[in-house]
Amino acid sequence: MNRVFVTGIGAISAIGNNIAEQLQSLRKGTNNIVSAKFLKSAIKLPVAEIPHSNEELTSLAGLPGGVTYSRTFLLGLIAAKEALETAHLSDRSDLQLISSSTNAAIEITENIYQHPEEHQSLLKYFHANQIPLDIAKELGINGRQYTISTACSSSANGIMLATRLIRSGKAKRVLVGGNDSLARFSINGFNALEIASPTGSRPFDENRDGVSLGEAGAYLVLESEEAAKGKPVYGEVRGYANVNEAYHATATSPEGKGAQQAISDALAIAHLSAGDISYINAHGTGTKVNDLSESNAIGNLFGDQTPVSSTKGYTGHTLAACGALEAVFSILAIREQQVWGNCRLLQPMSETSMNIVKETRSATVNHVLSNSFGFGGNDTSLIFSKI
Amino acid sequence: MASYIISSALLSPQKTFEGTFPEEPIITESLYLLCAEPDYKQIIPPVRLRRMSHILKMGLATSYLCINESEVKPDSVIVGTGQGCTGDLENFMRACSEGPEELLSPIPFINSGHNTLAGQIAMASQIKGYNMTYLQEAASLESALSDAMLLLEEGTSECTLVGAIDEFSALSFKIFDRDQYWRKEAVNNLDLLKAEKPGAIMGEGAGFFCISNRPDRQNIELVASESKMNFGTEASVKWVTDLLNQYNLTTNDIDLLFVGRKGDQLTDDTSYAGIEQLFPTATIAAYKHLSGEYPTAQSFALWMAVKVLSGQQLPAYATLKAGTRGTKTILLYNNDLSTENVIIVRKG
Repeated sequence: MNRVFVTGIGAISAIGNNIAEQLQSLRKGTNNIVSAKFLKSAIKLPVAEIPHSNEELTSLAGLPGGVTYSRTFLLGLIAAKEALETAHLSDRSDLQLISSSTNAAIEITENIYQHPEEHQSLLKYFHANQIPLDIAKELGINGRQYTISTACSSSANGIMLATRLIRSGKAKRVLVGGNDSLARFSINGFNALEIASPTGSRPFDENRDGVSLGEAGAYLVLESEEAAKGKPVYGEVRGYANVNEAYHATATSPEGKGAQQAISDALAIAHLSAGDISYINAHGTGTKVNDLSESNAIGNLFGDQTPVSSTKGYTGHTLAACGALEAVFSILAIREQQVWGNCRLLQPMSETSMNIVKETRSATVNHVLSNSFGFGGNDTSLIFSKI
Repeated sequence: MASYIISSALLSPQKTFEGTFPEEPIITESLYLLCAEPDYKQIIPPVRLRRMSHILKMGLATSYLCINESEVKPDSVIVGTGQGCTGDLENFMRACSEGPEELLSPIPFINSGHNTLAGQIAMASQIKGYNMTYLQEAASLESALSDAMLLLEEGTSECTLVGAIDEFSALSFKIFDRDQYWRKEAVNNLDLLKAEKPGAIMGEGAGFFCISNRPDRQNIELVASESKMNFGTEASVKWVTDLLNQYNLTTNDIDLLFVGRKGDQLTDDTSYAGIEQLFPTATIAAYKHLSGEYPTAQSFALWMAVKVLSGQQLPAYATLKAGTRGTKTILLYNNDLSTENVIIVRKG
C-alpha cells in the first residue's frame, strides 16, 4: 500500500487570492462576509464573495483578456496553477485530475439559457464536465480525469478517491480539488430551504441562523511516497471514509450517526484513535441542524478536549469546493502548527461541550480531522497527518 | 481480484425493463426517444413517489429491480450521470431567473442536486456504505464502474450497486441543437444508422448493475472500465491497443464489439471506423438507434453485453456486422469527441 503525500496546495477564496493571503486572514481572524458586489440576485443576503470582477480573475489566472470565461472555471484554474507550482510539477503527462463543482458553470448558464443564440461561445458551459476538461487542457494534463458531484462533500470525496487511487497504485500523482462561484441558483436554493443566514453565518454560535454562501477554488497535489521523493512534503493523507446516513434528503440526524460513522471509519483506516487527533476542522455550516448534529457526533467521539473550529465563518460555505479548501486549511494547520479560530463566534452554542477554538493560536498539530457533509446524507471525513 | 456483474436492469426507450431482449424493437419516428416507463406506482411507495422528478423515478425503479435480481444485497451505491438531474435543475433555474426571486419551493432545488438519486437509493434500500456520484458526461459510467472495482479490490465492499442515468432534457435539446448535434428532421430510429445525415437523436435511460467480488452462476467478469480525455492528440486505436495489452488481451480475444455510432454523418466514421478495423473478425453491434444518444448510453450496451454473456442471442436489429464465432469477450467503445470510454466484460 503506497503512502499518499500532499506536495502542493493552492486556493482562492473570499479571504485571499492565494495561500499566503489566506494564511494571513486565518491568523488575523478577518472574514469577508459582506453584501454582494458581483452576484446579481434579488436575494440580498450576506455572502463571502471574492472581491474581484471576472476580468480581474481572468488576469489573475494568467489568461488573455477579451474572452468571457466561467467564474467557476477561473477560480479553479487559479487554485490549480498555484497547487502545481508549489508541487514543482512541470511534467504533467502522468498527472490525473479529479474535480468538482456543484452545478458545473451554473453562474453562466442561468444567465444565457433564455437566449442561447446570443452567446455562441459560452454554450459549451452547458456540458456538465466542461470546466474540468478546460482546466486539464489549460494545464496540459493528460492522465485520467474524474468529476465527482455529491453536493457539499464533493471535493472531500475527490481527495478520498485520489488517495485510494494512489494507495492502490492506480495513480502516481493526482491534482484534486473543487471550484464553485456564487450564483443566483444557489442563493435562491438555500433561501428557499430557509437555511440562508440573514445576519452572516456564525458556525457553532448559540444564535446561529444559517449558511452564508461563499465561492472558492481549491486544489491539492497528492503524490505517492515514491513519486514525491526528494520534494518538500506538506503532510500525508492518512485516513478517509464516506458513508451515507440514509436518513433525510437534506438534513442530518440529530445524533449525527452518519458523521460518527464516517469519522470512526476514517480513524480506523488511519490506524489512529480519537485521542491522537490534534485539531478538528468541522463542516460547521452555521445551520441549527448541521451544527447540532455534528457537535453531538464530535462530542460522542472526542469528548470536550480536542480543539474544534469551523472555518466557514471566514470563507462562507463554498459548497463543492469546501472539502478541498478546508483540506488546504488543515494542511496549513500542520505546517504552521496553529489551530484556526472559529471566526465570527460570539457565544458558543449551549448544547455542546466541544472545545471550540475561539481565536487562532499556536498548538502542537500532528493529526487533523476534516469533515464535509453533503445533502443526500453524504458524510465524508479525512485525516491529514504531519510527516 | 476480479469483479463480477451479478445482476443488471435497464429502463430505456425499448422494452428492456422485462429483462430480456425484446423480440421486436419499438420503432419511433422522432427527433428523440423517451423511456418505455413502467407503472411507477407498482414499484415505488407512494409516499416517496409524490415529490420525485422524472430522473429520480427512472433511477429508483431501476435500482429496485437490479437489487431484487441480485443474490447479494449491495452495501454501496455509485451513480454515474452525464448531465445530472437536469429536469428539476431547469425548473429551479427558470423559477429564480424568470419569476420574482422570493420564497420559492425548495423541492426542485433539492431534486436538482446531482447526488439526490444516490441518496434516495440509500434511503429507500437502506444502503449505508459508500455513496458516490460522478457527473462527467460520457465518462460517468466508466468512472463509476472503476470506482466500484477499486472498492471491491480494497475489501471496502462486497457488492456495489452501480447506476448510469440521464433524462431527456428539453433545454439540452434546444442548446446543443445549435451545433448540428441533433437531427433536424424526425427519423425512423431503425433507419438512423443508414441515413447519411448530420446529427443524432436524443435519448434517455437508466442502467443499473450489481458488481460483486464473487461470481454468480452466470460468471460474468467486469474486466476493465477506462476513460481518456480526447484532445485529438493521440490516436484512439493506439489507446485501445495499449489497453488490451494492459489487460493481457489481444485484438483476437474480442468476439463482440459494441460501438457508439449514433447516426451522425459528420462524426461516426472518424470516431469508430478505426476501432472497427482493429477487430476485423469480431461481431460488431450498435445500440444508439434503440436508446438514442445520451451521455451514459454505453450502459445500454453494457446491459446487452451482460445478456449476451448470459446466453441470449444478440438481436439482428442491433447487429451491424455478424462475426463467425461464439462470444466470450466483449469490448464496448464510446467516443463523444471529448472523451473516449472503454468497458470490457467476459465470460469467466
